[in-house]
Amino acid sequence: MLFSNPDIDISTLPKAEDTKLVPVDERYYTVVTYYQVLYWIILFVATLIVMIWNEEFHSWMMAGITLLGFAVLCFLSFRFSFLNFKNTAYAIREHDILYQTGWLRKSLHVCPYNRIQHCSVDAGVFERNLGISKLKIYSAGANDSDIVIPGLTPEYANSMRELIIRKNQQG
Amino acid sequence: MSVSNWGEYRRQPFLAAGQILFKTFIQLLKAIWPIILITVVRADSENSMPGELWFILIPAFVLIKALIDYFFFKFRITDEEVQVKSGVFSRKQITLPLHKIQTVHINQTWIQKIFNLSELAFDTPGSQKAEVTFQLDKQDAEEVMAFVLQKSSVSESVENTDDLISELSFKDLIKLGLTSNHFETLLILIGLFLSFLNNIKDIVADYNENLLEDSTNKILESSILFIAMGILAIFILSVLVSLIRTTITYINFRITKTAQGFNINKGLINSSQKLIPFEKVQFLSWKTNWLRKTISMYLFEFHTIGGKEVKNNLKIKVPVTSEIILQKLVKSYFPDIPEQFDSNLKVHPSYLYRNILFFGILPSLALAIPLFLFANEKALLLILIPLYVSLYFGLYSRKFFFSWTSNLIHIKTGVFGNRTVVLKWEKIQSVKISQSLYQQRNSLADLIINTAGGTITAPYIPLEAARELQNFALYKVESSGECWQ
Repeated sequence: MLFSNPDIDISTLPKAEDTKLVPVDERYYTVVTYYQVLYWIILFVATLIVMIWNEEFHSWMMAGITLLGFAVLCFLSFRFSFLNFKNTAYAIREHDILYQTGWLRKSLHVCPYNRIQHCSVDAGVFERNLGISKLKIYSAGANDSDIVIPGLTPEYANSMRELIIRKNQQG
Repeated sequence: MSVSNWGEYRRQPFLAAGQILFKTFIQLLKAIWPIILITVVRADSENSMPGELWFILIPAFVLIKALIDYFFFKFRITDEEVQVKSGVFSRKQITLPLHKIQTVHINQTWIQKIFNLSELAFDTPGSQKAEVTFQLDKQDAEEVMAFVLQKSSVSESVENTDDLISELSFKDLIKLGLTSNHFETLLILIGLFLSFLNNIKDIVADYNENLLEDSTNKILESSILFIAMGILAIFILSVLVSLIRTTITYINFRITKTAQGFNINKGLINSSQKLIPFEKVQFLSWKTNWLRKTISMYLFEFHTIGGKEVKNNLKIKVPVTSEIILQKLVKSYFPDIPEQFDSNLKVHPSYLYRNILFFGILPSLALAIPLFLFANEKALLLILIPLYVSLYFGLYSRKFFFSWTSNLIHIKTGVFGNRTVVLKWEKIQSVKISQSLYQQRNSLADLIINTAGGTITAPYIPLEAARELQNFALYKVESSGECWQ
């Protein structure tokens, strides 16, 4: 037979949403916190400079409101990044890789191995110090179709990369 | 074509140096014309460079740069790849495997026409613009194009019979010009005018800073008849410019089907020829507006690798003048598209309400209230924003229709016009389900389909359906041996 096109019962297909996802390493949250602290320190110093230079802020009320606003934003930002971290997870299946992320906007991204162009293992300064790295998976899709899985040990990330390359060649 | 002719590194034909010279000159002129104008206008003031010096400096620079570009650029074409070497101080070598090439373009500007030269451009995946371009004699360029395409396409070369699909007559061109998007043309004209004003501002010493404001006030003071005439004149100008734009772009338009792919020729002043292998097409789309629909006119597009980032002149757009031609083009990608689909989805009504709230009501209130309190009652005009947003998203959610069969996805969309997208499941690169907090609570989701030719989104569909489609897409991609390229 040259061509076959049987009807598919969609309910019998493997379900991506039922796959058990593996959370990323706790150390990744430490990295995120480092970046957050650094970011908020810089923003705090900038706010202080503006407040000192600008005479409108030289009253207890204005200074109080500004600092309170700052504290609320800072708290929300830390809370969001924690919730984001809690939702970051991945899974490796026989034919594809799953990556879930986000809390305010939750997403489940699935990329089949036979569509992957190449992948790399990278680590930033903080990540290197804490002994973790991230796996970047590039597909030919446009815009933000690439997957970056953070919080993996370098050994694990490298073995994942090799697995993906092997699967890719088989496919 | 025998490859042995091209196996050794060689330069472009000598006449190409003339074209490079001209191109360098134009590029330089575009970059520095305000400076030259300042120098020439203010040549009499002290401490400035005499105007005449520019007439020596610029040609000298252009000549040297063009000669360097010409002499240090070499290329060769072997059985497997195209190789290019360029640069003096930083040497650059590009190797392009023939099987990776997605499309081949032949472009000819009017100056190249004089010298009987053509520019060959090759597209590959992952690059946002043509990675390799070089000039050849017109006949050689066509030969190389045929050779490269034969090597790049998987299909065995069959008897090369060109089958004419469509040609645009003069009447078609006029129709196309008159029904094109005049609003877009108007925006381009305004953009050009403003950038011109901006450049002039630095040059003319007694430039009146409030020129725009003054003239606006004068216009507002004048009679309604005058304003109406002005608007009519602007409208006529936009229509005329649209007409000229389309004529220049699409004159001599001709699309033929060959054994390897579609061959498209077009253009009068700058002509271009493109060849698209069938299997490199990621998905198809065609759009029309209400005016064009009444005369069965569509703008058809082959989406190859690169998506939105692809430069406009490398996009493969085909004006289609009848349903029959449209069907012919669609059938080349997928032979049997059903009239009716059993499986359909529409966007959830909450998509409309939430977008009106977040993009219409909230921003306009945030702007209008402070403006109304501190400025004047004209701020109330901002209430028009929610009306426009309602119209926009209302039309979008009414027209959006996502249908599928076990072989393809068919999407009808659009706001003021209609757009149809046809995609084979096998061309999908990855699938994403994305949910905001609201969508999570209401079991809704956005389904985001990534292909190498761009991203397609189905917003606010039931979560269950999104999951089923995601699983089915993965099944199709993973079980098919078909190469997406």
